[in-house]
Amino acid sequence: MESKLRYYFGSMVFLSGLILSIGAIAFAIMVHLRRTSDPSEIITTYGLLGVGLSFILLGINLMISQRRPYGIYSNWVMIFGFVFSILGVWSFARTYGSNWVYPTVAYVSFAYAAGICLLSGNAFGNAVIKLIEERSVQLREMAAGLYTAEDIEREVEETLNKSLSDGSRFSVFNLDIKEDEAVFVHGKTLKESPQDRVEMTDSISEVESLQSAINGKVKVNDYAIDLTTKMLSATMKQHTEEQNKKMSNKLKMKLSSIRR
Amino acid sequence: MAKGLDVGTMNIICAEKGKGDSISFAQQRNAFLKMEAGDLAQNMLDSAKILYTQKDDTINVLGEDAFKFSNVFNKPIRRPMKQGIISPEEKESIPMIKLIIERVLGKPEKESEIVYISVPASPVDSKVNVLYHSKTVEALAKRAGYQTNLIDEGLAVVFSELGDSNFTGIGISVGAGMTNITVAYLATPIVSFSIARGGDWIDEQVSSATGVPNERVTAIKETDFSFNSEYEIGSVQGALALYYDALITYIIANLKKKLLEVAPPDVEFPIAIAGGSSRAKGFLDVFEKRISEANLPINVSKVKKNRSSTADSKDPIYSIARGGLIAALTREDAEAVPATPEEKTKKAVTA
Repeated sequence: MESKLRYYFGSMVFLSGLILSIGAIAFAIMVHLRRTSDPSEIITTYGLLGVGLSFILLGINLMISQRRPYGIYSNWVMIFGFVFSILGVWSFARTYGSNWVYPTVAYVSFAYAAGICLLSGNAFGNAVIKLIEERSVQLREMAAGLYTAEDIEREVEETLNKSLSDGSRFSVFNLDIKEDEAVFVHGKTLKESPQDRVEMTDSISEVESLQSAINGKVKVNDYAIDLTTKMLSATMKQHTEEQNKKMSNKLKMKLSSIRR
Repeated sequence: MAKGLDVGTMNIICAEKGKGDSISFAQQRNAFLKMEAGDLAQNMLDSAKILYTQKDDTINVLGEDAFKFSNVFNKPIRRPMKQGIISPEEKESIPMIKLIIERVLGKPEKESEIVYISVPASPVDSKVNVLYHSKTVEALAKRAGYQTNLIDEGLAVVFSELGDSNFTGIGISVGAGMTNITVAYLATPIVSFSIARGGDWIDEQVSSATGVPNERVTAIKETDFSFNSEYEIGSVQGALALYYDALITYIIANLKKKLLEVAPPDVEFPIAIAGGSSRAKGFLDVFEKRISEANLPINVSKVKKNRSSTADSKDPIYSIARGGLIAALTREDAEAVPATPEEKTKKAVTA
């Protein structure tokens, strides 16, 4: 059964059980139920209450049921629990009044109690497993969140960006071509004549604009971005001032040490 | 002097600042053709000023001439690059690319001259990894004596074409091997990806659909095709129009998918399109139409259409090299700026 469908049925059964139980309590209040009341009133009240409680527990079980491998055992426990509890209620309805004596009372009570125990125990067990699994998922997500695949990609990219720099010792080319160059004899034109060039009028004004865009001197018609830029600029200014202060302090210290 | 280098599947183009207010472009086809060597052939090639190399009894004709010879002799052309990266199937790809790069770049005028080299972004529809290609091309330029920097093709288009919108917008480079797309905000890339389809994909599909050889389809596409014309059923041009439309739809669908994964700022994004495969007449009109139908999750202000003339430095084929040049000149200017008093103090302290 699809989990959504299980939730749907579970919630429906749960609500039905709740309504039955409330109905039973309301009926008991209405008929002023007591020990000496008519057996039909007692059977109706306790029958409704018993079925209602079974339905409530069945609903909870359906909603927090487990997937395989636990799921298959959990489902059987749920079915047995529900059948026992309903059997208990049914036997009570059948025997109360005429045959409500020992040992029937003990059998009926045992069947109902066993059913309710199985249902509530199963619900508790499922809830505990669900809690443990959720926690482990959270921990996994937290661990993944600390160092994502993107971070790894970024690190690889940074390393590769440096791969042709002088500072890098690994993943470099020695800048020679694998193919032996000497076997290629260049043709006369390739050796002697210069490459043809096409000259076109162009002032390349974009260079200045690009400089401004890179330095953040461009006005943007977006309030949020403008505000963020201003805040960033202020923070950077503050940082630079602090750095300058530190530098001037260092200079002063250096100067005083020279004087000494 | 800073330079911008566009290493494309079909063309390798270098842009540098010319005399006065001008840009100088050096362009070579990224292709070669194998021919049998012989004194007669060599004399003919020398007198016709054709670029070639010789190895044992084989001649490799390089660049544009390789295409011409290919059509004349009906021989398949060899391509050092495939789908935007160095072709693993071509044994001589690296020496050939090296020759062409050295030819168009020339020697640096000063030590550590800055060059920005265009590289493709990671493709979304292919397992191809662009890292080896990028680093090999960088090593080749470094070997020629340059201080190398890599730039995404799409971002180079943004730098070249979207200066008037503060480098905010979408740069699309429809090349031969790949289509590169970058969505940038104030010169900063938000999304950058590539698609392993481009002009070559169109040629292959048209060739297999019509039975016309690939090289012939390429020639028709470049000289005798426009979107606004009516073609007969079964014609190469008709098939070209069909596959161009398929490619445009594919590009826009992937762009939409990528944009849905991020949260771009609520500003207007113009679109600039470059690359050799976007030079077909009417391409931009079809693209604009498809974009307007696509319902993208961003506000597209316009599709820039101010380029079509081949005598213009903003010809789509030069756009990426020009973008690289802009990046290189900006870097050069930034490095040339004298140190601020703070930096001077810092240096004094560390000294």
